[in-house]
Amino acid sequence: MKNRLRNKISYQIFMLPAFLLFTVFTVVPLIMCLVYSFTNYSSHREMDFVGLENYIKAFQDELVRNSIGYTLVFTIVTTLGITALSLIVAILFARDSHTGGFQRAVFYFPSCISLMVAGYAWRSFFASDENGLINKIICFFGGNQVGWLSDSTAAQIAVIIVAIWFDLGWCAVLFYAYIQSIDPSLYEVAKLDGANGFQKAWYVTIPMIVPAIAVNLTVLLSQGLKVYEIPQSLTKGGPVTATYTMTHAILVRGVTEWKFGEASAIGVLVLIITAVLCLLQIKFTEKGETEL
Amino acid sequence: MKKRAKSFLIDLIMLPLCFVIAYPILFILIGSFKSRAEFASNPYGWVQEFNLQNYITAFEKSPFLSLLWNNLIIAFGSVIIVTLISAMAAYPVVYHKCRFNNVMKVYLLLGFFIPFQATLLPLYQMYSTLGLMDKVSGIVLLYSAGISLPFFMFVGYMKGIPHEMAEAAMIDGCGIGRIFFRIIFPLTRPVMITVIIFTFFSSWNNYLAPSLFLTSRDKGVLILEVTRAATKNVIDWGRTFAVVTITIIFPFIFFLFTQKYLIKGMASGGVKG
Repeated sequence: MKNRLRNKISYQIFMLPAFLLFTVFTVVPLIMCLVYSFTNYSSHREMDFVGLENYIKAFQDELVRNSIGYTLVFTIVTTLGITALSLIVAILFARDSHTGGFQRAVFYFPSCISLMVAGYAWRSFFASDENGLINKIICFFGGNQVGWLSDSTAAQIAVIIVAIWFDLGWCAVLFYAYIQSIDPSLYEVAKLDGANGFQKAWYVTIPMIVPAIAVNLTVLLSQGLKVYEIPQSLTKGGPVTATYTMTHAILVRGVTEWKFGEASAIGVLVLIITAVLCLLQIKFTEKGETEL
Repeated sequence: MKKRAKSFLIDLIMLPLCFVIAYPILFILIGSFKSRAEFASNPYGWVQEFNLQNYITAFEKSPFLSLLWNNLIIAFGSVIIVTLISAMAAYPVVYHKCRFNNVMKVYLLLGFFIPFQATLLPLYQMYSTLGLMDKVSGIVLLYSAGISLPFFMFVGYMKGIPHEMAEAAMIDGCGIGRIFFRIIFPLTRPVMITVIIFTFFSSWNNYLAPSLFLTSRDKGVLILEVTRAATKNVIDWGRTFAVVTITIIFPFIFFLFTQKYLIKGMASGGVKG
């Protein structure tokens, strides 16, 4: 009996370091954020509880509303766009040409650099005058110049394009890795049934990698909601505040203006949005999986 | 014959696409060798005359060696700590099932849903009071707390290791600690490699945390120099790109050596957990 207890305790000791670090550097700050969000805490005032005032302020604050709106649009568009495009690329990868390894490496590499760098690399491509590479291409095909970094909507699209470029490769490689593990006899059966390439992809490949798609959606969703670096380096959140994300809102209200209470309320909103979206997505794909 | 034609057709689509994907990075590399005048007249083409001036100025203006050292300490420190402690935490969850451990598992996985943004301001304040500002060790501790994904991957992988192995060792009188370090941990090698690679890249490339917590220049990391070079009113792209190139050399080398494990590891990476 004593031995079993000792056993139990020594098993728990293995958890201790992870538990401590996670608690001190993630959970405790999170609880502090929750507490601050109900106070008027800032650098130059005594701390008082103010109830829901910060949340009301946050909802009335246009900067916060817009940044939440843009973050949501960004997240949904990139999550769906990247998943769809990377599935297509992964299916092309699976056709295994002899340069396949090289292709996968090239597609994967952007995600190994910093998101910050990604934004800088694209900034001069998106130059609003006729010197920008993208505008040159558009003009070449007879289109009109776009003020990529000076027009709000265009800047919002530009940020999304860079994000897709960044994440496309690793998602495609992940899907490719899963496609490789599909039993080849399934394709043979499909072939005997007279399926063409497209039908094979649609009826065999995609249903078989649904678990990978589900994991990917969760990762992309939670990543998308954290977006900060790309707009920061590409547009600096601009023009004006068009590409501000939730993170920008927290940093502006918190670090720049020292309104910790208000910023914490935004932080709690970010937490709620993240949790709700991720849980919805998991529920949704679980339902899809059982239906298959 | 038909197969070869098909493969050629795929190449015909994919290789130009590869060029499009690689171009922004090639653009940085090539741009870093262009003088200011050349960059203005010929930003997108091949470099006319190679110019090392951007690198010379970059090295004169930034303390790259100490920054590189900081980057390496942060990367190695967090890789070692994250890999070790997340594997350790997964061990009791898989090998000693009880309600307490299940609760702990859910607790540690909560990290998936906690965005860094929500914890950022309290951390900022905590770091000021604890004297962790401007300390490389503060950043290592912060990254080491990001154990949710590695933990999840280790749990998934350990479930697939037959329990008989640990049981046999226990009958032979092997202690819990020895079983973990001698048998289980070495067996998790494939997922360990994936965790190491992911942690390396995320710690090397993270920008937000160092930009807040490492404020003095020589205590910083490489990526902060990129923003310093790029926040002038008129951006000197050649110089900025030289700094970027210096920043991405290490990830690039690391990528070359690990890409084959990466791609393999992604499929086996316990995502079935």
